Amino acid sequence: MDRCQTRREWLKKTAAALPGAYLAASSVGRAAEAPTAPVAVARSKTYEPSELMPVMQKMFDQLGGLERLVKGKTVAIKINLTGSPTYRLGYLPLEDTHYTHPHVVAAAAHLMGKAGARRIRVLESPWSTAEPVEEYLLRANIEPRDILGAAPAVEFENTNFLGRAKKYSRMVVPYGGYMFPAFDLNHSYEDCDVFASIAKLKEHATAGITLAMKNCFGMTPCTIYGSGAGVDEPSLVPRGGRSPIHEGNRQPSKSAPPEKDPDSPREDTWRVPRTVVDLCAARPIHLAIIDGIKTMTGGEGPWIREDCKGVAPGVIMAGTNAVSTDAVAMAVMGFDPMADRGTPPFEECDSILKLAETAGLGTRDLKRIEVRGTAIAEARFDFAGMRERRRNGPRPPMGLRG
Amino acid sequence: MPLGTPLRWPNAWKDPSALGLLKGTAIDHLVIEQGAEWDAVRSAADKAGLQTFAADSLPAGVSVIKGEWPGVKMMRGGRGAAMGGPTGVPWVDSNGWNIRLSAIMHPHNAIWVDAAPPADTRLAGGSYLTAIADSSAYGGRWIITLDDALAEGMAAAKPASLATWKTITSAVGFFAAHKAWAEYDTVGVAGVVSDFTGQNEFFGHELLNLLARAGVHYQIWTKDSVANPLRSSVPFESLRAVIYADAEPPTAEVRKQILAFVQRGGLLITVPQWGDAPGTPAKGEPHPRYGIREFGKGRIAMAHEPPGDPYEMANDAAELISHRYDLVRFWNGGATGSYYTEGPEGKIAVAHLLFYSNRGPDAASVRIAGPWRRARACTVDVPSVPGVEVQLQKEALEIHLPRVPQYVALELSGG
Repeated sequence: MDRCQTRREWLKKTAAALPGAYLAASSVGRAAEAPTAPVAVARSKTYEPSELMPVMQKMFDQLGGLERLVKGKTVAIKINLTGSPTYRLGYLPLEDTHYTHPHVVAAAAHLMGKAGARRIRVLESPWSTAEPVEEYLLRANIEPRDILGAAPAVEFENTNFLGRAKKYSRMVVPYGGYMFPAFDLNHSYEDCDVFASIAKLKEHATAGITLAMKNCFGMTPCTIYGSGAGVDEPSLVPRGGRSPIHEGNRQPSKSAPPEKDPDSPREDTWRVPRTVVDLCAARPIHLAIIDGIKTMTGGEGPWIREDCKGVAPGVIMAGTNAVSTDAVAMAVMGFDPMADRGTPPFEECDSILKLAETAGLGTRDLKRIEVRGTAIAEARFDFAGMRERRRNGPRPPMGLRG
Repeated sequence: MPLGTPLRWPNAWKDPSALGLLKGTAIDHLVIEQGAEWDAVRSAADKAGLQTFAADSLPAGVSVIKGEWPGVKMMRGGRGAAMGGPTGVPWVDSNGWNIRLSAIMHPHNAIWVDAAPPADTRLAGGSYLTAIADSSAYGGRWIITLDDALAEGMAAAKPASLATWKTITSAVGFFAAHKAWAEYDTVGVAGVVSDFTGQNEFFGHELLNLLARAGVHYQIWTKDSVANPLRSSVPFESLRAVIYADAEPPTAEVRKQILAFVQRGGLLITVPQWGDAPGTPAKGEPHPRYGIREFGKGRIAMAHEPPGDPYEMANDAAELISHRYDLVRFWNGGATGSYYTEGPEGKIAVAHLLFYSNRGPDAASVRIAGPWRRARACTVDVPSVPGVEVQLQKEALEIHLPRVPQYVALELSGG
């Protein structure tokens, strides 16, 4: 495992390596230069700690051990709690379909604590609320104490607003950004030494897939980037979703950097992938973990008008390069990580992976990624085939789900 | 005064023969306009054993509250868009809080709700079911008031109108058959203490309304009932929190009772008008709008500023109490409401579930906290809904409902 860099070190190096004209240069050459790192893949049939903990320990060992990454450090973990906590896919618990499972978060926190992490901060921007993440979890029927008690000094912060700081942190996109030159984020994303993204293995209606990188879309505080954001200054509490980023129907609060080109496309399938890559460059991911033990097909949440199903692929992945980890996850889902717009799962959108590779964040080329542990072919769960069959059938009627 | 089942006689029913529509139903009280043109109807109703009243001379023992038409509030200008509350959650009008408050204020009276259907809206049977359940679940009775199109359609024996009428009569019959439920005790997590009058009327009423919207199950305590407790020798015994938001300090006796509750481990959520709070500042992360003090085994959360917005106070209260202690949690229910009551000696309970959308949910789950081991779901038409799955959880039941209408009663037992 690479020695963990601080964000400032990373920015310094990357900014030097990525001059302003970088994005205009040959994408073929850049893809060949994009960094790579091993990705660990493992099977776990259940979330039972007795099964999951050794699996995750082994994965981290295969990556070189957590200690080198987290010892003595403050670790921030972005989890995925997308959508309202009162919205389930049928009767299934949210953590079995579209929320990062608390046992995965707890196991990661436990192992990080064991590896010497000084402080572990679990972050999310819950839907349209400034309430503590703990309260949001309880509404979802998830026990936050399972996570808080997993290691010493574990805490939550709701990053959908200013939170515990006096001001927002300005996070600069080193290559200048596709969409945004910089973001104003909750302090938690700057005030950490190590940043981990623990995502769910899912398709996504707008971005094709949502994995470790797309999980970071939720870093943006809706007080600035949401439909109810203040015009001049951030609102005090978040209201609504991120339609300003999705649709470009307004700019962020004027206190934050606006998008680079107000004449750029207003289509969410163009805007969301670029914003995600900008965010992942502004706040580099040191550790990507993708929970595919239980999840759903058809989209990122039960509100998607597809024939969504709860499934149990029984797979979990981790890596220190988020692009490469997402690429392996795509392959596990039966998709080609080299796919471009027009090819599943990017039939109607740009590929986050291609954009990230072009920006120099990492390679998506499986030939350049070393997979450790379970082989992709053994871990494969055929999201791609289910997607094809689903798309060839009639769309289901909308039910009343909440 | 028994609750009764009142109907406002529709203007479209000129002929007393329309009384035949009421035969075999639970409707036993008629509110009929004054005037000679209704004499024949009044006379026929009297002969049929129905009690008749004029709108302005309702019987003694009945308190009538002016209610809202219950349901998801729609935006003006049509397009079918629901109006959102400050968090984007659909705004729901319900009379439940008002019925409960009236019952506390007038404990010997039946509570009737006067709420006419919205004009120029074609209502389905489900809307009437919601109107009936939104009153009856909370121990009141809606004065059945038919929209003009329905009344005219019934007079003309139109099948669609008669089908809606069947929904109405099934619903009122169901609640008439379960009138003992109205005597059950309220299960709550919080107690709201106020006199609910004078300068405390607006804030106190809105707080009750909005606490219900925030999913906080509460008991209503007047200051008199706190100072002179009747229902329990120890006020607030089963509660986790007490909310006191009146504009003046409590009396010495009320203060004593509430602080005793805090010392036993309860949480007091209050306002600066309370006066000096005992105890010591609590450790931990500060709340943006409340100062937290520890006192005895409990805590006191006092607002830094006098509250201006009952919505904010209701939501702050939900968070200060913590969703850990939610008595009812819904999934996939849409705009929901619930009222949780306990029968004699706490051996059985009924959780009334209300779904305020245009139709009931197709895959809702609900978690009910409590010691119960068994649950039976019933609707106004089906005494035991088939296909209900019950999962035992730690100190709770999770119930998976198949497609159900806008009202479900969960009968809980085995505690």
